[in-house]
Amino acid sequence: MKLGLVVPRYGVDVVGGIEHWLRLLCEHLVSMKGWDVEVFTTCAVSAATWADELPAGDVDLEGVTVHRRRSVTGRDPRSGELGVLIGRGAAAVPESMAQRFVDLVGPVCPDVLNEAASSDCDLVAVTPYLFWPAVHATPRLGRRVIFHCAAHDEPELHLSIMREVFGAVGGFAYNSYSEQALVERTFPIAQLPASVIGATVVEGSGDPDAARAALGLNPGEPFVLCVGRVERAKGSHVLADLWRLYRQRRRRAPRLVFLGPVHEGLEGDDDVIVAGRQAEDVKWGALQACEFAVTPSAWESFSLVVLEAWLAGAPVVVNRRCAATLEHCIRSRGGLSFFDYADFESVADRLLADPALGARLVANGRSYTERVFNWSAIVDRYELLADHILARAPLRVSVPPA
Amino acid sequence: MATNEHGTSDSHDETDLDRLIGELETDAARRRAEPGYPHDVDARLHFELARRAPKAQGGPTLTEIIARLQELAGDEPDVPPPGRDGGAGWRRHDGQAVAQHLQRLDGRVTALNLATATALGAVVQRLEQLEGRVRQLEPLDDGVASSSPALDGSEALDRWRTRLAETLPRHARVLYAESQADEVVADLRAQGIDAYGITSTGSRHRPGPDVRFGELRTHLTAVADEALGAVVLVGVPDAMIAASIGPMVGELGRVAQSVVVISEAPWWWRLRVGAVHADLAGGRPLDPDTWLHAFHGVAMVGTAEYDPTGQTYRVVVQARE
Repeated sequence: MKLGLVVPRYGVDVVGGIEHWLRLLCEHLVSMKGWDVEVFTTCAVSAATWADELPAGDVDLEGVTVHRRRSVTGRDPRSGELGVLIGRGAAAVPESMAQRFVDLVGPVCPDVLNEAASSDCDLVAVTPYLFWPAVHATPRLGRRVIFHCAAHDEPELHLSIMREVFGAVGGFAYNSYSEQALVERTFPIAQLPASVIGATVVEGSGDPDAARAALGLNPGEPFVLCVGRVERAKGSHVLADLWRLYRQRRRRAPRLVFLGPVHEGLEGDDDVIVAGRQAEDVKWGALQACEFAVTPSAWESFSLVVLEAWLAGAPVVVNRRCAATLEHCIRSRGGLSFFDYADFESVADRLLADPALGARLVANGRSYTERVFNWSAIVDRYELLADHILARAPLRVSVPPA
Repeated sequence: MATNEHGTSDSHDETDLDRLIGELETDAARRRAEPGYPHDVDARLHFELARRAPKAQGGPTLTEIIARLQELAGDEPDVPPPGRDGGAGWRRHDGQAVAQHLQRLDGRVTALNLATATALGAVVQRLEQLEGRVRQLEPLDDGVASSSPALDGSEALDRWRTRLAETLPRHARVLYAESQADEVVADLRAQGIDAYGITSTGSRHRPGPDVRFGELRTHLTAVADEALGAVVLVGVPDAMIAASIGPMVGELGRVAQSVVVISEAPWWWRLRVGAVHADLAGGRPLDPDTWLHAFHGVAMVGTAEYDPTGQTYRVVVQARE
């Protein structure tokens, strides 16, 4: 099997959920299944600009051949203004405006697509749905595409042009059942081969004491943890407010620590510590040491952090508005959720007062993570999906560029 | 702690956890009712949480729409003052004022109509989303009687299994629902048929592409027009309720080039389960003529064939050219 991957950015320096995850998947398909994998990507590292930061050319990364080509344009700041308009009613946005929006979001990289289309790959994985490469790759590569759409219920998903993007592909690799349900509610594509592949994490190691020191905590101090980018869309700021209210009502409650790059400023105070980006061993040490971990974002399509927390022994609390993280909690029976402050307070009180309950939840979560999201199970599921797509009608028909 | 093959826990502590979640919800409700509960801060945080959550198509929230409705309904346009009897000039002035007033009223009514339609549209959309989510959590009965050994289609399947592939296309997608879907789909795929299945029994978390968990009719609504070469129904038709046939056949006619229905004959089913169970059953096998009649209504024609015992039958229909 020869698999291609069209992705806006690729490499060890790329920190991003789906891109990071697909890099690991490609490497494991090479090492565990003996597949040939070629990546068709740009020279970008940052999704905020798509600027060409890496040299163009071909390199080998862990057995994966990476073809990097320069973009014609990166992300245009005007995409934000159009995004606001789209947010007011995506379905009514004219096709020309939607195309313009995708062009502005970028990265516009026809060379990447041309190479993928002319390659001898049996199948081409494409991700994620809302950037220029995917919007233009799926109609062109058609039934050869395994679509890792990484869909959220956001306005862009409801743009009229997305019907063709989703309808053209050979099959779907979903992160979760809730993502599959969302896509099938939105587009008539349920007849296409699909599999819930998910993602996986490799348990890391860390030292709780060293982590406390790195995070600015006192030795042995209990704390609650939130791992991930600090930004409003991720729910960081509202979590900080929830915790401040909780500490007003529970004077002896531990402090809350945010660990992750700060994209939108959040002031630390007596209740909340904003520790910023930290090394992996600090993250794992913190997950081992915390009383419980909170994932406040309602926009996750998978959430590796939830699985990492369970592996490290931390009970998990998620935002009930997030279908993907709630799905982890329900399937594993290993996590709790909140909808408003009263729920949050009730859950926090219970977890802080009852470590045995936390341990039981963690055991369920860990078991679920190890059984469902181990590499062997994941590459097997992926291979089966690829076989299904390949077994269908002739795939090597590609539409020429418009 | 036991887990099934898909990693979903089936342990004894499921009940405990369900109880825990119930306790937490009750506890949260009690806190909300306590004097001194910070309702104002809670409302602000609730708003912030909702604002940062998926909102399909990015439209206004129901609350925003209703607020707009109230604004329109409560906003009285100025009524013109009664005119004085001052001759033709005054009468003309009165007439103009009334005309302007009516024009403003007309504009208000139109705006109110639009806002009402938007609100109703939003309610419908929200209900559809909820229905979708509820289906995910708790599959609907969908016109099919609850699973019963007498209604699972296995007897009919046994009679027709070796001949299942003979009417199916080789180069088109085939959907199989739902009796023994795992084994049958594997058989069909081994024979080179691009088959996948759907079942409403067993684990709801089926990660692979072969057989998915769900209700047939719900699945069909998410399939593109004419996307399937064939749909094979075994087990589903043994438990149909008459009222659900029309919508099901309508969807089948939209998505499939051909449909195969394999079922027990009603007389045999009645004999087998006994008169009492048959009379009280929620669903029952239909006569093959009923299927042919229903498919005729969506421009699909075909034939019915009984097995040599007459106990089961197969209906095969195709879209008219």
